[in-house]
Amino acid sequence: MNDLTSLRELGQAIDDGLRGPAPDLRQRVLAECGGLADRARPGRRPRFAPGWRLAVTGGLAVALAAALLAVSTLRLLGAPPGATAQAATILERAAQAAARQPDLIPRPSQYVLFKSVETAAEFNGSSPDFRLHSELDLSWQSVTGRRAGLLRAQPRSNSNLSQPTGPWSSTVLPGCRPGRPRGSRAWSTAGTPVSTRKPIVSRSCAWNVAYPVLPTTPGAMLRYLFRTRQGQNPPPAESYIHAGDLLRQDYLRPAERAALFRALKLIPGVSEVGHAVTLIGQRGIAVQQTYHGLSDQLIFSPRTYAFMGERQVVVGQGAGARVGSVLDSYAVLRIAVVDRVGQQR
Amino acid sequence: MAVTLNTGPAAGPEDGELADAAAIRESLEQPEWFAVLYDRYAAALHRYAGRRVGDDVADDLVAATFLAAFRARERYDQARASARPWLFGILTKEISRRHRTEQARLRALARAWSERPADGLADRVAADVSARAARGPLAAALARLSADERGVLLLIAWGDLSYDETAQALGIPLGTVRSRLSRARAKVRQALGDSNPMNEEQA
Repeated sequence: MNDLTSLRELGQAIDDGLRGPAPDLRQRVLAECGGLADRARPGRRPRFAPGWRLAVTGGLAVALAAALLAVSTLRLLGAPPGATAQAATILERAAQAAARQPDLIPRPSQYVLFKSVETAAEFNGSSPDFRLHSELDLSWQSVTGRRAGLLRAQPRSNSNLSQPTGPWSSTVLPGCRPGRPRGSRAWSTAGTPVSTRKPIVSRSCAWNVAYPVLPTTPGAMLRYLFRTRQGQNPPPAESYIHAGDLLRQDYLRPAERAALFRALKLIPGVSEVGHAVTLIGQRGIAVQQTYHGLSDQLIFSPRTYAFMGERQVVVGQGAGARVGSVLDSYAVLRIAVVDRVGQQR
Repeated sequence: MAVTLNTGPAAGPEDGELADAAAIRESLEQPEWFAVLYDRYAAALHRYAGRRVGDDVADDLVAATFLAAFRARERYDQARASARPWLFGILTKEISRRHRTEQARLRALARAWSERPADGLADRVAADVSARAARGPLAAALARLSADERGVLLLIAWGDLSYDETAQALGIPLGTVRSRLSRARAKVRQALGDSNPMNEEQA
């Protein structure tokens, strides 16, 4: 036995008398780390950015290990274990309404058409003043992600959304071809769509499909939201934001949509808003998640509980704008399956 | 006709395969990523600290280590995939502030093992007898080492760090690691001299 071996044996002998970390040590350490981080200011995440789908790819890779953290994170934040009772009632009715919708299964050669109108706040530096920018958006996305799609946008008057204020812009959403990617990445990760008709070669084209296959049970959907969330707000806020992104940007089949609304019932901090108005003036009832001085509201029809839109209202300090301002607002006009790019009905 | 689509994220690192450096980078924006580091290293750090200063002090030192690391995570050298040397380096600094606690503990261990009679059944196994007999003198020898020598020796013997990692952890040149280690080992061997004749071989 040499000296190092003897030392290791001594170490093991000492171990016999040790009990290991105190049971609450992990909680204590991570809570203190969380406290330190809270003092650093999180940022407001820009919403409704164009080219969203192209920007998603990079984030997905890093999101993988987050799944392991989801459960402990929920506990770490010490938040209440789900939505308020009133919010849960709204979400349950929305889930039931969604589940009753016909199950539309597009063919691989088809496209999903999204038609929406949105108003987004554009800030200039740190000033609390912002400019609104409104536009009508039409997008056609290939069901399999293999074919090129198209994004068309037309600026609209903030005060009268039916009034165009500029010409249409068109951006080709490149198709994807499975294979080994060569050279540098062919698309921008900064969120700017690349106008090219050449397909992007990618190991998997899952990122480019018009609609992902999503979980159909609330628990699995909640895990999915946690695992694939992005951004730097607290996880319950980012998971909620992610749910809103899915509602706006993806075609969800009825069972998936129902699971999504039921998963929202499980996210801490979700509460109800008595009444909310969509961008096109529809009156609705809403649920909200509040983070960083913003109330992020998902608006439903009070009659049919159909999802009608989303908006962000400033409710406190930290958002960088006056309390009561509506920053971003979105109304869904039409989601349909069509045969050709450009086809509207 | 049913459509089957790919689902889930595109190719990327497997669960748990994310390098420490990447987890630290993620934790800059999403602090909860720091839990990855805690879950990977807390047990090893705690065992190491527990051996040197006991369980109760180890709780405080491990907590202090992770908090110091969390505060310093912006300055983490992203070229270093493994955070193990970094964390052991911070822990070593924390332990050095408890220099007196450690020495008192080592002397107490030395006394306890010298007094304990080796008469159990297991102790009839020759190797175990020799190991047991060595514990008291070893603990006493560790107590007599300088803090620097003890730091290097124990990072290697108990922390399972390589020479390179030890140099990284302590922020000293590799040559200094080697010279401190050889001085420390010489002193330990001297202390073992009587009870253990099998220590001729060199590192």
